[in-house]
Amino acid sequence: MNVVILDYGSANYHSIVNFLNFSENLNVKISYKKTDIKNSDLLIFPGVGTFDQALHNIKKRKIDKILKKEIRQGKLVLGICLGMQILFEFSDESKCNQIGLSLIKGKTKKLNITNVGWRKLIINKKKFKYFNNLSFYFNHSYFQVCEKKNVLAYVKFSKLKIPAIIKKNNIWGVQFHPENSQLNGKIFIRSIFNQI
Amino acid sequence: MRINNKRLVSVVSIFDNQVVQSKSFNNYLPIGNPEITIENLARWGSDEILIQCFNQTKKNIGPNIKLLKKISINKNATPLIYCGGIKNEQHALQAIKNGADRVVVGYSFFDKFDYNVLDRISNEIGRQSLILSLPIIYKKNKLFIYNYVSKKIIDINKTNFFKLKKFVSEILITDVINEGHYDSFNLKIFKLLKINIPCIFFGGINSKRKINLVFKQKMTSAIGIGNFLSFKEHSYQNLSKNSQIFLRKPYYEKNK
Repeated sequence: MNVVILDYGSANYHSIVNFLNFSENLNVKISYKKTDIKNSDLLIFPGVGTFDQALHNIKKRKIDKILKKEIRQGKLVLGICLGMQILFEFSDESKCNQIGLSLIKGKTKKLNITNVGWRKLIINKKKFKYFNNLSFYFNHSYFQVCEKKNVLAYVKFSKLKIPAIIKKNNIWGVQFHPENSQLNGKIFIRSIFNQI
Repeated sequence: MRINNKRLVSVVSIFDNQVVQSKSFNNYLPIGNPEITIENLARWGSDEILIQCFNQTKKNIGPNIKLLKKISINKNATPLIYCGGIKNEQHALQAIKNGADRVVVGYSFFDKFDYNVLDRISNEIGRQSLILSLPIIYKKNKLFIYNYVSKKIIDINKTNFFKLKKFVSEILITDVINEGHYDSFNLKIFKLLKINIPCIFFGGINSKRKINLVFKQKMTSAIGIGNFLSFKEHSYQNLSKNSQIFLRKPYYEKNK
């Protein structure tokens, strides 16, 4: 299975590569080459950095169009934290009104206080009840506002219900960091691999 | 009511690529190998692991990327915080790309109260990935920041915490005098500290009683515990079991 971790300049690539090492039969690459994007079975948008920097680098590397085309044609995608946020339309984080990849409808809003730590998921859809009450590691200053039907799980933080797992067709987005969520992260990523 | 969203952070002090026991930022006693230490702490289910590399700032050699790359292989999906020698956004980015998930900046800020350096780093890696380190000394009912390079102390009230909130997600407060000493963290610090940013407290917090006392403080988001965790198997789980109201359930590896 070919997994490409999209290189947009500023993310925890090494962390994700180390994390994926637990699984056999994976060919993991950190890349922004168009051929690698096309040939991948799973495209991971990593999650450390800022909205503007990530989109700026995607546009600078001229891969925004191919990303949109491949994803619209059904390429399996996992966006982690910021990597999920850039798949949406708008973000409060942008200082220059930058527009996201707009593959899912929704907006990213600022939290008053950073959500750092281990939180238990509350599952919305029966199909994913296995993950109910399992703890995952969160570290984010912005959160997603999107259509309810796409939210599979959320966490409660600062009187808010923060979407934790979002799914729309072939697009998966997670607000937590599976690569930092120990055993639960591994179980989660395996469930994504099972889709292929 | 359960408020189990605080964290117990395993702190690993490193000097010349060796894990050391330090006392008050001094007297470094080698106690182990970084890779094995990280592997154990990850295996015991640490909420986060913080590695602090001493001397990177004093020697002005930037972050210890070689070591970071080597040890992050053993972190086993545990969040890794890197501290030591980060002076600018390039250093921070290097650390993040090579295995760190968050970074700590201290001296580069408090030496000249340079808010711009924090702004630039935060713009690059995001506020959530940036932690500010303030080594604190309690003296005559006042708090001071200890500048470990110049060995001078600076009044903590010179810090504009309101401004800092824009750039950093948490502040790592180290009780310098009591660092490396058993259960001696000075609780008077809480009375003088007026901070609107979540704090990680470190330095002389070891006993179950003291851990719970520090966790009870509203400003505490995490507690850092150093070498105390490395001397006995399952110390981490035993401590977190004791503070269940604040922490997630301890993790025990199943027999293979």
